[in-house]
Order: sequence, then structure tokens, then C-alpha cells
Amino acid sequence: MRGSSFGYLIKEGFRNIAANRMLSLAAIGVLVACLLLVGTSMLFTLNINSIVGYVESQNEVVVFLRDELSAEQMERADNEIRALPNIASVTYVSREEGLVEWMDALGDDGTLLEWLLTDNPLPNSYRLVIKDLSNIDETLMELRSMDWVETVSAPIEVAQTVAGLKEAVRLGGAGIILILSAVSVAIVANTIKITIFNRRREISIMKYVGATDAFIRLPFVVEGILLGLISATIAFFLLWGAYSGFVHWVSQSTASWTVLLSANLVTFGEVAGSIYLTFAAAGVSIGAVGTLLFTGKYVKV
Amino acid sequence: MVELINVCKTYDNQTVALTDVNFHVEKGEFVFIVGSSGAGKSTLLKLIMKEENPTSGHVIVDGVDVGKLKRGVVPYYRRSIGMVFQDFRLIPNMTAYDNVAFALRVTGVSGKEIKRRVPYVLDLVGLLPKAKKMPDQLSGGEQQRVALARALVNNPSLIIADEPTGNIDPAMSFEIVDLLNEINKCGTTVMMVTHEHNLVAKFRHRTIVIDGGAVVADGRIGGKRARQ
Repeated sequence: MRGSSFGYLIKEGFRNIAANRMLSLAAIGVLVACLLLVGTSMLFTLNINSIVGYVESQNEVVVFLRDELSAEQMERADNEIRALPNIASVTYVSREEGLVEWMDALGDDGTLLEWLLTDNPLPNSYRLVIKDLSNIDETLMELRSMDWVETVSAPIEVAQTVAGLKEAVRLGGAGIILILSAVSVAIVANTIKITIFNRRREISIMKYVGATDAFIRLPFVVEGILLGLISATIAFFLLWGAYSGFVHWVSQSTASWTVLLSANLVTFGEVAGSIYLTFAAAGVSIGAVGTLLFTGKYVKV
Repeated sequence: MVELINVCKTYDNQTVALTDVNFHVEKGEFVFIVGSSGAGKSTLLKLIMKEENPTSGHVIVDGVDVGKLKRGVVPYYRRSIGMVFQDFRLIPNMTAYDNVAFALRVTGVSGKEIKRRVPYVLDLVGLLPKAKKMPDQLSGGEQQRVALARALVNNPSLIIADEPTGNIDPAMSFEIVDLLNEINKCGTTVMMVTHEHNLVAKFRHRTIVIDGGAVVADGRIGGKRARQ
């Protein structure tokens, strides 16, 4: 295709949008709404993951070792625990350190435990931070199967809740994105159908004078892609404004539930690039797919 | 140039449009096709333009069996035919110049070539001074001349005119047919569908009469009939 023809087709795409202003505005409005919901769903997922990550990092598994272990066995225990795949960090806490921490935790009342200094009942232990709480069961099984492990204390309920929440957010997000994508494709397709109907006279003349199928369709594809890109850009800036407002509100709030939220909220700057890329890719593909899927039978030569 | 061999066309709803149509139009000939509404004239043109395929038989244009053309080559085939319609089919928001240029743009002709060819054909149909007028600023006859310029601009070997004088006054009608005559004299084959017997009688070209989907007469009005 000649450069001049390509330029002409691109210009035609813009002309289509301008010629069908109200229709294009309506399509952009609906697409922006869909993309905003997709973006909100993305930010919600990212923030839930951030909070879940924080909760995960705060939940420790404590492994208490048997009392009678030799130095050699202690070394083997240390090696085996550190070799486990689902462990983010390992901290060894000797029985003496354990007692001191316990006394410190009791504050002034810690002196009540001073009598234990001579006969410390606490075992040596490891504090483990789990990488992925959804796989905690496997990790616990591995730990409990080790000879030198006396008991394992783990936040099973928290782990299960967090894993369930992550899965629900993942599935819910994917479902929302899928439904909204289908809605958006239908909206673009309808807009293009109406544009084609409005321009049926031109299209019939184009067919009679020998325009190829691709030449007739390309301006509509350009129109679809432009509608998608314009909507993506508008939705990006609206989401940016709304989310920044939300972050500001949370940071100013004195409500207790917002403290954890505020500390773990993802900033828009961290995800702006990926959100715009997602919006643009979604906009362009929705525009192109919506047009290509439905222009075929209307402009067939 | 155009040959129909045993052509039959029955639409999906079982309407029989053409039955065993045979005729041969020579290169450089001017042929009138006449017939009442529903006689099958439009179907005939659709078959030549490859808008429809014959149910049986062959439509041969310039040695090509149109019914067997692959979809991808149809646009290139159509570039060898200029089509003129009763309702002009001009794009209302384009000037006369742009309406003609449109036919070149959509076939990928360069801007330089468009600037060379459009004024030439507009001059040929006598409308160069009105090149910048919009269709609604032109009379019916002038609009049809723009449509004729658009049909000519791709330098086709065949012009098909579907009742080109149907929407214009009688005086203008003669002018349009005169113009088609001039084009024909330059070697372009012309097939013109018309209802107007006075045109057929005045210009005395070969006339194919279609009725009930069949060719019922083929010859010159007032002359020796080739077939009846």
C-alpha cells in the first residue's frame, strides 16, 4: 500500500469519528466506564496483594526443637530448615533469647519470670516467615516430619483466610475484566455498525469503483483503535485523580481500620506504567477486535 | 467484450430472475437494454458487476468468466468497468472534484496522478468550471455528468449505465446519451439500461429487450432484428 493511501485511510478513521461525534462520544463514555472498572479492579487486586503480603510477613511459624539435640544435630536442623523452599526468612532464637524476649514482652511484669533464669523451660526455636501462605500446609508437613522438631506453632486460620482472599480477588478480578471486555467489544462493534450504516452509500460506491475489502475496512479499524486509545487515555487520568484522592483521604483519616490500609496502599506512581499499558492494550485490542469481528459481512466486496 | 451464455439466475427465495439468456456485445459497441420493471435488467447488471453469481451458465467479460472470479480479484475486475446509476450516487458532502477523485483514492492512485486525471475527465464532461460545487448546487444533468466523470476516471473498457436519464429532464437526457455516444466513439463499450423509448428510437443503437427474465428481442429499432 502506498504511503499516500495509508495516510488517507488514517485520515478517514479520524473523519469517521468527527462525522459521528455523538455516537463516538457515547462509545468513548461507555468504554471509559468499562476501563475505569477494570482499573479499579486492578488497583483493588494490587492493594489486597500488598496488604496480604504485609499480613504474610507478620505471620511467623515457630518451630520448637527437641531439648536433647547435639551440636551436630543442631547444625543439620539449621541446614534443613534453611533449605525449605517456601521460607522467606529464618531466625534462630536460643532458649535464653526466647526467655529474654518473653520477659521484655511482659514489661515491668517481666521480673516475675526471673526465677526461670536458673531453670529455663523454653526450648530452642526457629522463627520462619512463610513466602506463600497458600502452601503453608505442605511446609508444615515437611517441618513436622523432621526428627529434631518438637512442635510447630503456625497461624493456620490466618493463612487459610489470606489464601482464600487472594484466590477470590484473583478470580473476581479476572471475571470482572472478562465481562467488561466482552461488553466493550460489543459497544465498539455497535458503534462501528452504525458508522457503516451511515456511510453505506460511500461503501457501495467504493465497491463499485473497485476498492479492495481491506481498503474499505481499514478506516473502520482505525476508528475502532482510536476510540479505544482515546478512552484508555481518559480513563487513565480519571483513575489517577480518583485514586490519588482516595489515598489522600485514607492518609488523613483517623479511623483505626485505615492505619493498616494507609501503610500498605500502593502508590499510583508505582503502577501507572502498567495501568496505562493495560488500558492502551485493552483499548486498542477491543477497538480492533470489535471492528474486525463485525465489519466483515457489512463491507464484503 | 460481454458475452452471456445460457445464463439462468434463481434467487434463494426461488424467484426466477433470468432464464437461459444469451447475447454477445462486441468491443466498442453501444447497446441499449430495455424491459419493464422486474424483467431482469438489474439482475443482468449485478451478474456483470459480480454482485451476484449465475445459477447456471457463464458471464464472460473481456475473456474472463466472471462467475469464477475469486473474491480477492473482484475489486481489480471492477476497476475495468465504469458504473453510472439512475440516482447518481454522489457523496453529498464532497465537491464534484472530490467525488471523482474518490474513485481514484480508494483504488490507491497517487495524489499526483489524481491531480492530473480528475480535471481532465471533468473537462471531458464539460464540468471543469463547476469542479468545486457541491452536488446539491448542481442540476440533475450536471450531477449525472459528475457521476459519468467518476465512471470514466479509471479509464474503463466498459461503461454500464443503469437508467442514467431516469432522474433528469428530457433535454438533459439527450445530452447524457450524447456524452455516452462520444465516449463510445473513443472505443469504450457502453451498455445502457433505459425505459425511455424516445432515446432508443433517436439513437438507433442495438437494443436488447428483456421480458420475464428472457431476451425477447435483439436488434436495432427500425432496423433488421437479429433475433426475436
